[in-house]
Amino acid sequence: MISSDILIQEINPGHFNFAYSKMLDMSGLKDFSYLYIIFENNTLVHVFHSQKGPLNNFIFKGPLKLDAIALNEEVDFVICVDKNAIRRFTSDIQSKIYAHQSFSDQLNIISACFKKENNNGIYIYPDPLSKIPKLPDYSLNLLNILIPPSFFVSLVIMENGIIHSSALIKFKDKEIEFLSTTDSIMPIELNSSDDSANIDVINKAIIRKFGNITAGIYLDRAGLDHVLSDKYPVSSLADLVRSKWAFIKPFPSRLRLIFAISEICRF
Amino acid sequence: MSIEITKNGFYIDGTSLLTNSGTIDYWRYKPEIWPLLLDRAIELGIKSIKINIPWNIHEIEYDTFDFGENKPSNNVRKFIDLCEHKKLSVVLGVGPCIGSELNYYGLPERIFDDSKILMRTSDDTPSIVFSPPKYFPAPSYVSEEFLFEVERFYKAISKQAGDLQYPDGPIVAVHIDDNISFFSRFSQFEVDYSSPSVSLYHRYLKSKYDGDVDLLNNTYSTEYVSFDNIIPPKDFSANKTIDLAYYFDWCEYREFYIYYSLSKLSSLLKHNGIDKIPFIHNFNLNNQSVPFHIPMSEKAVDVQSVDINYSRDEYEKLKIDVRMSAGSSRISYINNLTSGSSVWDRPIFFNDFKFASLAILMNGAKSINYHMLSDRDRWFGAPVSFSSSKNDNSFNFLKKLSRFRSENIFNEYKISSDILLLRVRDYERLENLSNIVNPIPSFLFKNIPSDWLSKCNSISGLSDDIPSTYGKQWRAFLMGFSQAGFHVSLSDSDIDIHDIEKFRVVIAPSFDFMNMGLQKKLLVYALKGGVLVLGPRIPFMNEHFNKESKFTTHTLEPVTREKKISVGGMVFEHADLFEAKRPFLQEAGKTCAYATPAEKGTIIHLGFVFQDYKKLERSPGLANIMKRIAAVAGLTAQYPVSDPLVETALFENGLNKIIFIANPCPESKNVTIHLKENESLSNVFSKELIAGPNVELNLSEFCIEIFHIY
Repeated sequence: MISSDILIQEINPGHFNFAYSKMLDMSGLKDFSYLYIIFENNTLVHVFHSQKGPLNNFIFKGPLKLDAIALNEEVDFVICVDKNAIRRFTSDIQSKIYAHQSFSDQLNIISACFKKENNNGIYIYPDPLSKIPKLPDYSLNLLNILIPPSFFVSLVIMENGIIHSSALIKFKDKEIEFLSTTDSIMPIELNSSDDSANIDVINKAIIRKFGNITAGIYLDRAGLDHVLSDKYPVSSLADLVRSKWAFIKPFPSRLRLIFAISEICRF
Repeated sequence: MSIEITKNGFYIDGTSLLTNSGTIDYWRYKPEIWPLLLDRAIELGIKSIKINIPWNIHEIEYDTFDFGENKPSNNVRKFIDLCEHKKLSVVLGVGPCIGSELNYYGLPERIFDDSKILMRTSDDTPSIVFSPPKYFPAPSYVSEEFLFEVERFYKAISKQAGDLQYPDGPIVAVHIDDNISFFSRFSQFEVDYSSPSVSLYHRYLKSKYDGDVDLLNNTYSTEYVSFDNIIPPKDFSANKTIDLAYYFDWCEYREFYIYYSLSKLSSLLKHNGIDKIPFIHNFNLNNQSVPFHIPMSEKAVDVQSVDINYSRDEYEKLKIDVRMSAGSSRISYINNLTSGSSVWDRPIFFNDFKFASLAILMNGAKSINYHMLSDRDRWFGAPVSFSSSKNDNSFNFLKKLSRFRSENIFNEYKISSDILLLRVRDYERLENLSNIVNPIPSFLFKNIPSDWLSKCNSISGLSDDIPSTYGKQWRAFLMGFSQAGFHVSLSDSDIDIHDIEKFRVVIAPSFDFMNMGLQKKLLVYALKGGVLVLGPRIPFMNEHFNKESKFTTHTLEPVTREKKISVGGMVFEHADLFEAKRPFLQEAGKTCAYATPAEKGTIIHLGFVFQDYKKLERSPGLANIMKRIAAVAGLTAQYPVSDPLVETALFENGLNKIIFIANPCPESKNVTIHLKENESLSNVFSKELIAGPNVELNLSEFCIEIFHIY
């Protein structure tokens, strides 16, 4: 989660765009269409298609079989809401959020309020909660123990000897307190034919500007896609590192341990 | 000293200012870097620097402010002095909210502890502003306690910078707050139901009804004993026209609320010595017209500017906001043209910035403030980097654009526009009242026309479902005239008659009722020689839904109504048919539109509802109707283009002509533009000469080209 004092600077627009596009792709929210149905006391109040506008001849049979509606109306999402549930939901959130709470707490409140109404007044197909990757509890507990509360990690996507995308992320007390890209360490000179030398150059520049890093993760775009599309992303990254498709330098012992465990119990 | 604000710009002692400015958040950089950033600004052709003064950065503890004593980067006075030294003027953003991706928009956290300061929703909860990385409850701008706190901050600012107002210093304008509009809660029934707001509502009604509650009771058909007993509406449940006055008064009050907040903040500044320079405020319209009210806001501040934060595939939205600003404000001032991107929003990239920069000029913007000029915490992609180096693409483009504007004195060029399309406040209020997605802010429904989100019970006494009809009627005019090759100006229906009279054609979509002020204004316009377009209905009721009309003697009663009719291959809905001497549109003997003389002018009544035009789609039939309307006023398209989706805008300054040609579509286009005999084009950037009269151009996707016409 992010700290309320987070510093986000020297962000490369191209790197940001890459991350943003990946996020949209993964969430299925890129150029999506939807049908928005509002009802009250089981009676249709209004329905509109995000591209076609209000539908006059829509037959509403309650918030049921949304998958069939999505198919029939040719939309990616169907959002079917009880007018009162929306009001309950927003009122619930607004009565529970205070300025002094941490951002994590505020998001947890919203999530809890949504869970209360999800499929109980607010019906969405496909279920948005199913999009959120869910690691098994044991792996979450394990990661919680093994990952230190404060660390500095860099993720660099290399493509033909140049930096394609990057993220430099500092965690403090399990919250992101600093976010940047390799723009903050420029200028540096990379040697296009030698990945290992390039990694050293980048790491040295990061250390010179920000101090020691806990882990530097280097992989290419195909590697990143492989990890992001895998059901077990940690295990997948570990596999890539073992097969030298990805490099981690420095490679802290805790991360080595996590990777070793991920070989046995996939997560 | 004289400060003059005209449609062309701000002038102080005859010198044009604020034409080209940019925002720099001084406190986010080490002072050593300030001179480098300002030098870059000068290199870009920037003449003024806008600085926002963040309350929660300067107030280090209650009533103690740091203006550089502790943190050198907080030394705002030093920064202003440096601007003066470099011959840059300054616009002082004084908050209380400044946005700027700051936590709490720059408000100090402590103020949220006082419940008397907070806005309340209709469910009696605080109104949360969902702005990362900290959500917070919105303050009520009519709370005396809040204004008391703001005044303490204003006093501190005045002490720091009050003596640097022009002519004693470089500060030439003050920017108040950031987009006062209920923190983007546009739905009528969300906020503000706090006690001070409800009390102000009562005072507003009392003033409107001359303190006579019986007058209000007659209008509402109620039996209130006192104004203080009136409970503000929390949902829209009008069934008949007499119910509407109560809701319309609430809409009016919410517009007044913004005016009142601005007036209060202006007074606080003046009371504390910031009183020598113009005041500016900004709206982030997002294509909404209510609760915004540009003409009313300009009674509280000198200039009501707008923000533009659109990507290049949102040209239609950009066009509406800029034209509304150009048509309704003293000067079209774009306060925040997004240059770069906030980390919290969807990204705006160089191509978006380039397109938007040209598109706002093309649509009438005169003064532009680039937000941000330089990268900083939570912002990237600005023309200047965090370390003051150049971000080449946007830096070079902006430099080139500034040079074009300055060398050609572009602000003195006037857009050629003879047609005005009004946003009729009466109907837009009704549309907003009927917003069905309340309390979800409608701007979250990206690219969805607001009328799609509207639905209300049928209201007896009204012959149309206005909330879902008005918007499509309005869009059809905008799109039709554009495709017919005409520039259509837009404005709030509350603008002055003199501003309306400048146009040869005025279009006011109209229904069964219309406020008498507007009816009178429109009729006078027609009588004096204008071409007035009304419809689908001729108003026969006033704003109190009493029978009163200025138009009935000049217009016809329909003989019958048909649900759908087809004319010239187009399908019209809810069409009235007339027995007219001068039919304007007819087929098979059925006349659904007619023209009628009104002394020196003409009224054209289109008695039908257009089909819904949702996106960029060619409609030759629609364009043809608009061409015929224009022809009644003796107008023809000046520079027609072979592809109707390509737009042009002609600017003239004496004999000099500049033309903008825009392709707002996602695919490239080969087009032919027809110039007058002996005319040719010269690209203002590449200087390439193209001989006329028929010029072939290849326009890449989302592109705007600018040419001198010789």
